[in-house]
Amino acid sequence: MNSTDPKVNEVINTGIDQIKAGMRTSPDPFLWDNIVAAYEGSDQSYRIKGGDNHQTDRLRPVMKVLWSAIASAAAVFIGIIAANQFYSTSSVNEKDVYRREISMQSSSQTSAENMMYEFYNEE
Amino acid sequence: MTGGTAQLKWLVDAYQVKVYNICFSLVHNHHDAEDVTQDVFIEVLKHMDSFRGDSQLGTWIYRIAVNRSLNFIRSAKRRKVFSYIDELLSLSGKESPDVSYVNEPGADDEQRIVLQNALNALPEKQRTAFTLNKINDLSYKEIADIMDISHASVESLIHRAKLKLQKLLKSYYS
Repeated sequence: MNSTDPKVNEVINTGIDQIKAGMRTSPDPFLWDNIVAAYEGSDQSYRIKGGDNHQTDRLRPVMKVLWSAIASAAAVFIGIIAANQFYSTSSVNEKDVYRREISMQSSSQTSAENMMYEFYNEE
Repeated sequence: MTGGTAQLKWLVDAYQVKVYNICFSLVHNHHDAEDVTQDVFIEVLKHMDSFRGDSQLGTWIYRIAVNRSLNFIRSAKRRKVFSYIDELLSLSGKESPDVSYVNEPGADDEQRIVLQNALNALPEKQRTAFTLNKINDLSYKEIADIMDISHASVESLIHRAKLKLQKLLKSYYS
């Protein structure tokens, strides 16, 4: 391994040697029996080592988090819907008030115009 | 079980050491490597009939070993994230299971752990190509067949892996 840094070079080479030292050189005599047992009792979840279903145990906290995440997401979603409902109602009210103001303005404007018209026509 | 039991047993005996070592070099843990090896051979036995002979039997088995190991690492990372979230939310009263796949430290193998951590930081394809070549002593051709990529891609992946490893380790020791 070519490297400009001797320390890095040493780490890589020694690290590789140490990983290789942990490798297996002879077959596991129990592997075949384990495979046969797992294959024959295979119902899509084969775990024989240790005899317990540690896959399920490992997934339990994950499932717990998943369910709480779903519950939180549902709560946030309901909150958003409620807030949206509230604001859309208040904006309708504001619109109504605005419309009323405009109509009042225009009606008072019309009555003022009428008064002016009557005043000049009378004369 | 399909096929003659004696032939299948021979197949397991013939390939198990290499399969185990490939799994071990990728997952970095003996217990997990044993589990993955077992799963590899169950998959091999289940799909023996669908092996078309396009590649060599060994290449096909090693490809399953690599894929199974990478899947294991991915799910271990996911479990790690979830257990971290779990700890943060303190939902679990008991201690979360250890999902680290770099373990079994010894007094004299600091460099192994440092290298394994640096390897874990590499992109998946670079890590796989580097590990198969430098740790499992597979040729570029064998790696190209296993990873289903060209010879040039293997060269490039290993070269980039070396550069990135050197950079990571340099920053670790500086």
